Amino acid sequence: MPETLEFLSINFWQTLMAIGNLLILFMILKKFLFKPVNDILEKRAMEVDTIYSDAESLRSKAEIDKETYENKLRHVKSETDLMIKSATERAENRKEEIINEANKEAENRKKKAESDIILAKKKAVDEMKDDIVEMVIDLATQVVEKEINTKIHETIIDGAIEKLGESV
Amino acid sequence: MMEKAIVLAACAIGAGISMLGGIGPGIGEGYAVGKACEAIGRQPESKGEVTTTMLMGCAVAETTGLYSLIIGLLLIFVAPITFLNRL
Amino acid sequence: MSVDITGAEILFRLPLGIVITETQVNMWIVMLVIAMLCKYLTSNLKIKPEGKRQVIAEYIVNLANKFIKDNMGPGFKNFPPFIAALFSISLFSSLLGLLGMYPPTADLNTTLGWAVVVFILILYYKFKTNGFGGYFKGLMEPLPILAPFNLIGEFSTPISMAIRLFGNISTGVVISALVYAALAWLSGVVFQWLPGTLANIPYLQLGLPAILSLYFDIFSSVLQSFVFCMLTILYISQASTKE
Repeated sequence: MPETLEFLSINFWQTLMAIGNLLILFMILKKFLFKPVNDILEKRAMEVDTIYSDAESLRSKAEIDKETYENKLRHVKSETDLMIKSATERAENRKEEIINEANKEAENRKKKAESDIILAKKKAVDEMKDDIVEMVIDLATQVVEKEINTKIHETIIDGAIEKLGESV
Repeated sequence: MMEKAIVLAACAIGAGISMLGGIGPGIGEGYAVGKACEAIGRQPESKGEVTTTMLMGCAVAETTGLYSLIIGLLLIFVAPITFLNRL
Repeated sequence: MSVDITGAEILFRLPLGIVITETQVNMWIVMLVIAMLCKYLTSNLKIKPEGKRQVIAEYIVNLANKFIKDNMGPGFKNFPPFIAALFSISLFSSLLGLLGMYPPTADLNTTLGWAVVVFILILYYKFKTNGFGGYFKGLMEPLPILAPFNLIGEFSTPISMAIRLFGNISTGVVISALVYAALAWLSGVVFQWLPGTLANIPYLQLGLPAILSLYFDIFSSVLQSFVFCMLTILYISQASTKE
C-alpha cells in the first residue's frame, strides 16, 4: 500500500508548486506559442500593407502612364490628321496646278491652232488671190490679144474680180 | 466498539443528509436551462450567447451543490478516520 | 471488497516537509506535453502559411486574442497566454483521468493554487482601478457593519472557484473508482464458475466505465476548464472597470 495524501487536504508546498507550475506554463506559452505567432501575424499584416501600398503606387503609375500614352496617341492622331490634311492640300494644289497648266496649254494650243488656221486661210486666200490675179491677167492678156473691146471686157473682168473677192 | 459503530453510522447518515443540498442546484439549473430554451426559442440568432451565459450561470449555481458534495466526501473519507483516532 | 479513495500518491519526500506527489509529476508531464506541442506547432513559421501546423497555431492564438478582446476589452496584452495556460493545463490535467492517471485537478491543492493566482490578479486590478482607499471604502458599503460579510464574499470567490473545479473532477474520480470496484465485485460473482485465474479477471469493467468517463472525464473536464477561465475573465474584467 503506497503512501498517499489525504483525499481532502491542504498542503502549503503543493499549493505553491501548483502556482509555480501555472506561471511556468504561462511563460512557456507566451514565449513559444504566442510571441512567435503574434510576430508572424504582425509581419504578415505588414507585408499585406506593403503589398497593398505597392499595388496602389503601381496602379497610380499605370494610370499616369495611361494618361501620357493617351495624350501621345491624341497628339499622334492630330499630327497624322495634319499630315493628311497638308498632303491632301498639297495634292489638291498640285492637281489644280496640273489642271491649270493643262488648260493653259490646251488654250495655247487652241490659240495656236486657230492662228495657224487663220494664217493658213490668209495664205490660202493670198495664194488664191495671186492665182486669180494671174489667171485674170492671163485671161486679160488673152482677151487683149484676141480683140480689144475694152469697155465690155473691163466690166466683165471687174465683175469677175469682185465676185471672186466676195467669194473669198 | 459501539462508539466506532456510532461514529461510522453518524458519518454515513450525515453524508447522506448533506447530499440533500443537491436538490437546490438541480432545481435552479433546470429553471435556468428552461429559461434559456425560452430565450433561444424567442431569439434563435442569440443561441451562442445564451448558451454561454447559461453554462456560466449553471456553473455558479452548482457551487452550493458542490459544497454539500465536499461535506459528504469529507464525512465519508476523512471524518471517520479523524474521529476514530480521537476515540 | 474494499474501496480506498485517497489523495495523490506520495513519490518523494524532500526536506522542509516538501512532498512530491503524483499531482506534481502528472502536472509536469502535462506541461511538458503542452510545451512540446507548442514547439511542434510553431517549429516552421512562415509568413505564407505552409501546412496545417501553422494554421492550427494561428487559429489557437487568434481565438485566445479574440476571446480576451471580446470579453475584457483592449489593453490586456498578457491575458491571452495566461488564460490559454490556465485552460490548457486544467483541460489536459483533467483529461489525464481518461488515461487512467491521477488527474492533478482532483487535488484540492492544485485548484486552490490556481484560484489564489486568480484572486491575487482580481485584487491587483481592484487596487489599480479604485486605489487602496476606494477598495476598502467599497467593502464598507452599503453599511460599515456589513464589512465582514463583504470580506467573506471577497474570499469566497477563490474558494468557490477552487472547489468547483476540484469537486467536479474529483467526483468523476470517486465515482469511477466506485464503479470499477462494484464491477469487479459483480464480475467476480457472475464469473465464479470459470476455472482458475480466469475467474479473477473483471470482465464487466470493459464497457460501462467508458460511458461514464465520457461524461465525467471529457464533458465535465472541458466544461469546467472553460468555466474556470470564463469566471477568471469575468471577475478580472469586472474588477478592472471603475464603479
